[in-house]
Amino acid sequence: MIEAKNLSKHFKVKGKPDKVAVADVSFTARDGQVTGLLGPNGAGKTTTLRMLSTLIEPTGGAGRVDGKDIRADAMAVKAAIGVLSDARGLYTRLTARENIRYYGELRGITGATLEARIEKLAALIDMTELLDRRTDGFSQGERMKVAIARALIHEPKNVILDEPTNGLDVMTTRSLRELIRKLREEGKCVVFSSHIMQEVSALCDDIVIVSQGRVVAQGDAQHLLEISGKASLEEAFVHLSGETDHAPTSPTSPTSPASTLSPTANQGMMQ
Amino acid sequence: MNAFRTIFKKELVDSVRDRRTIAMIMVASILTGPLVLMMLNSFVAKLTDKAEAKKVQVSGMQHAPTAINFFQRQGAEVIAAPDDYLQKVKDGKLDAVVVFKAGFEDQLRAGKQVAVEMVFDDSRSEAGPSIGLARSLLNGFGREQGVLRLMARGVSPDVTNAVKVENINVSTPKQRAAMLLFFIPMTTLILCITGGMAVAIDSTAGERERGSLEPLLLNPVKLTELILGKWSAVSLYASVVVLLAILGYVLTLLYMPIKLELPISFGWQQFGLFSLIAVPLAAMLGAVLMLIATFGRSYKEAQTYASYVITVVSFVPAIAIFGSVKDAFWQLLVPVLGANMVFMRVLRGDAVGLEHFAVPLAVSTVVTVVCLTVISRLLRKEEIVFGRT
Repeated sequence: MIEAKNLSKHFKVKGKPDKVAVADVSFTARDGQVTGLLGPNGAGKTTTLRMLSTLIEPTGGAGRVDGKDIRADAMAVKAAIGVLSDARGLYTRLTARENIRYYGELRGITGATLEARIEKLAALIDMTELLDRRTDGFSQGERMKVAIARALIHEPKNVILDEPTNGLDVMTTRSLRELIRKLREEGKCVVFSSHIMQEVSALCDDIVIVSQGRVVAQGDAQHLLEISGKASLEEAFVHLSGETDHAPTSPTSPTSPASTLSPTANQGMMQ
Repeated sequence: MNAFRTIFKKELVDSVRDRRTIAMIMVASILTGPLVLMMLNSFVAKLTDKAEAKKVQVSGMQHAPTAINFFQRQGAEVIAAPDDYLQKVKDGKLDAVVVFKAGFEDQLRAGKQVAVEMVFDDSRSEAGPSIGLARSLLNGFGREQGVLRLMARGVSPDVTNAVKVENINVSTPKQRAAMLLFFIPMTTLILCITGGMAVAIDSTAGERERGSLEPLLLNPVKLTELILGKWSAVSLYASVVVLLAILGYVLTLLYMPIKLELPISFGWQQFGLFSLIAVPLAAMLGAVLMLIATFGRSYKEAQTYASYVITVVSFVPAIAIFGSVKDAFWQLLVPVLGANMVFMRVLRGDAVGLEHFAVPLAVSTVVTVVCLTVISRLLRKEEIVFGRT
């Protein structure tokens, strides 16, 4: 389980007031569920996920993974999560297998256990024939597969995926979706961020809409439709995230959604 | 410590696969010794040849039979200079030419002061011995003529020669050649850096550039272990390369079939003493390189920073020699300069004591610890971990 409570992050900018990347984000991602962090670019999704995976110290608020505090117990948190981060560089002079093995060994997995897990993961995400090739010259999809495999090598109970489908073709996206469903079936807590409505609605049990560093709504698809009063999820998303300027498809012109919907959104979050 | 070993091993494997870089570094380090020694050797051989040959180029020989006679009495071989001697000196084909003008002999006999020209180019250091010889022959001749003139007037020559200089040169041949030996510490110091450079940059700026730093830091590994693992790999490479270079010097001197004109001893004992200084220094410079490379957002950027370090380090031996920095304890406290001083002492055959090794070791350790600590601070900073090009 991953919990965020009033997380905020301000970045210092020379000679200017602090830049607020995340103003106030609270949500709970439960085990056996896929929680989607949905929001336009720059909404603060990546920063939130970086705080939860202990890479960035929050300015305010708290975060917990399986009850462990992200500040006080960073090592335990790192051990409990598998993260596909925004950056997913590989070591190009190493083979895919060696890249994955490196992360396995860094997490204390060795020998036959490690090799078996690599084979298992490779079979799961359809990359067995890639394993012994050097990653130099891998396509974006192939690199993604290696990055996912190394993030999951320790079979974490909590999985964080930051915009996992970015730059992937249709086939890879499909197999990634299958993987996420499989992780849910195994009872894991999956959090993934995206700015694509369809992706989130197709996968997520719980959707957290983030806009300008704040959670503006949370709930399942049905709930979001209800509170926005829209007919389709896409319109609901546009309405809730307040992104009217960038949404030429939007037939209506919603008025200041964040302020009117905030109480509702907070209720949804508290449950 | 398992993570440490994993990281150390991975960095080694990763860098060994960078075949071209590794091959270049290894070949460079092995060839350095033989090449530098051969160059120094032929240079010294030329110098001694010229000094021993005692040849003096003279233009207008027929105008000065007395002087020529003096030159020959001093054991110098007098050679008539070609007519275009001025051009030849400019071109570096002649070292020094003594020019006697018509009427020299008459003026000399008349007891007047006579002008003699000397043409030379002292920007070419190998011309030094020839210039010195010509000058000392002329001075000697002048003195002899002066003495004769005084004696003819019944004055003791001691009247003018109030001071008689007796040259007692205590510099051993070793010390005289030692001016040139700074090439050996210089190459050794440079190889202390170049050996570990590729790994140092790849494991810091390289990680940033390819976006592998962020996922790496997501592993539950202490930063100390992470940095120590990387630094150990860097140090190992740097040490191996510099040891190979020192070995190159030793093997060249022991087994190359060349007559050694350089009066130095560089055997197994010197190999040991050099290593005691070079290995801690290589490890320290590895940490320094890693630190500055951490600021690089890309491999290229970090390479630029690293080249500054190389420049500074490679100038140290030359500055020490040409700035006539005297061997002193304070030098041991300065990284690189201290190492250079001990290298030179070992080469010259001067006494070295415990402090010559203990102090640089302590200094290297302190600098290394400081650098690695700063790196671990940097890797907690968001602009380093996430700031990519």
